[in-house]
Amino acid sequence: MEIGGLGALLMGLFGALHCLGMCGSIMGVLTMSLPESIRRRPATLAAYLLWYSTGRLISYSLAGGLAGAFGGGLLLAVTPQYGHRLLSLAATLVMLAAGFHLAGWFPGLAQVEKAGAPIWRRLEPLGRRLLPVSRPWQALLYGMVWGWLPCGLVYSALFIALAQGDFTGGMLFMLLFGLGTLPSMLLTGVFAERFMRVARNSRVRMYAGALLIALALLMLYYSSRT
Amino acid sequence: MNRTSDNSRLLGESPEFTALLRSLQVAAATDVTVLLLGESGTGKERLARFIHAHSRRREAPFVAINCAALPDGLAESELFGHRKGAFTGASGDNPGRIAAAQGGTLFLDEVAEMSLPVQSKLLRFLESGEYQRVGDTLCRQSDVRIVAATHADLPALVEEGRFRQDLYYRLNVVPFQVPPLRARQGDVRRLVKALTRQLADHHGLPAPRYDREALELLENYHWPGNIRELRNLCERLLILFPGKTIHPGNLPPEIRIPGRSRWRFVLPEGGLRLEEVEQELLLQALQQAGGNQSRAARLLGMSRYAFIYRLKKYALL
Repeated sequence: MEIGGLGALLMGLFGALHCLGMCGSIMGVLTMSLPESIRRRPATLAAYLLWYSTGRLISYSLAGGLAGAFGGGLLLAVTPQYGHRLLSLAATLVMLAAGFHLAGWFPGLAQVEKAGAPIWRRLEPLGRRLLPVSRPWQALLYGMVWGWLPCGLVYSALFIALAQGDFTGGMLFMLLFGLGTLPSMLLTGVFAERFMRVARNSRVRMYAGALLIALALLMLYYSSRT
Repeated sequence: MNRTSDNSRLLGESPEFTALLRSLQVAAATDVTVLLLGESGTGKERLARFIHAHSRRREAPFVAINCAALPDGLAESELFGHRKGAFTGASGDNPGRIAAAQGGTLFLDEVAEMSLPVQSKLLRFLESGEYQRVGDTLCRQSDVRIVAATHADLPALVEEGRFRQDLYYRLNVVPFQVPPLRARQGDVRRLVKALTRQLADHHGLPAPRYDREALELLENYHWPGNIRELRNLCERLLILFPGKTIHPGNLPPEIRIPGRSRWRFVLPEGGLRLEEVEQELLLQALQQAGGNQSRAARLLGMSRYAFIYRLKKYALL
């Protein structure tokens, strides 16, 4: 049993709680820096929040596709016979680590964020030029830049996308992961402070982490039987 | 502020700290009001300066005001300014900090310490951008970006009626949690090295080295005073052991002996009455001991006789 669509969705859904410390504040800034005329109309505001997230999902999908294609190449080059199984096992272990990270028992995973810092240093000034956002295309483009923000959880998901073994599989995995993050991100935009309080609650995060760990263990169990 | 402390407070490569800096960079590009929440000594003013330096207002002034350091009577005139003769001692015009920050950033440190009347005036300014100097009838406009900071639990203060709810909502537009030093993976080690180097340059002394065990103890300590406490320790050790190697034995007991925490009390900027503190401690000890005077006396490290003597002295018995 591989980490499929459901795993990606759940990882995004629960994992996003952890990311709210950083992304929640960014979403808050992006929401509150919109012109008053946009913020006053709930439907227009919701549309802008969706544009931001659509941009983010486009970046995730692109990165996932590239990771999947790279993973496919790696499979053929290294061990065509057992490579897929090995990558799949590694991906499950990464998910397990993400669960421990989310629960607050493995803070070291955040160190992988350093890997993306050089890309972010180049992209961040581009994003800054788009702020303050007042047009939908700006929100979409800013979301695309935001998608490359260094994040331990996104990198864990990317590693699992790599195990999908081809561009389409990797892209779909990251798209579903991104869709899983949508509820948290949209709620943060609308109910910024109240929702972040819940997300910051260590018990909530612990339960979310435990759910991811249970999912990863379940996958390990099934993969060991096949 | 000198260059040494300027640099030291933004040092850090831990994921927790770099994540915060990335979020603040995004906030800096907008004009959104920012609220920095975090323990004392975590470097909130440095972060406010970081926001200003990365904003479009960076060429305009950055003006900081410590609300805890202002006596009630002076807070309004310091913030909004006053006209000559507005009150006894107002021998000249004072434009105030808001006018001084025109076009730039106004940093309100320890905003929870602001008195309720000043909170009302600040709220009006935040809502309309308008303010009046003390003793003036003219309404003025100012374009400043507000960054506020506090270590206090603002929702609790709102509940207690000590902080205006509407002002809380105005300030709490985008809250950022500044991580305490103990939550910043690997930063203690980096900061010890960087601070020691900077302080050694500043004092013209050879920097001491820290052995592995000493560094481990420093990393495991919980740093209630955060970077301010770490910096003070580095300075003390530099002066005591210039050019030498610091061993665990050179560290203060609360760091050397894990689990032992020194009781820490920070004197409020405005001072306090010692007798009030003593009365409060006597009552708290009695409460903790469930009314048992002997146990309460032991909690305060005194004899039962001395404890009762003090209760009688303050008419608490």
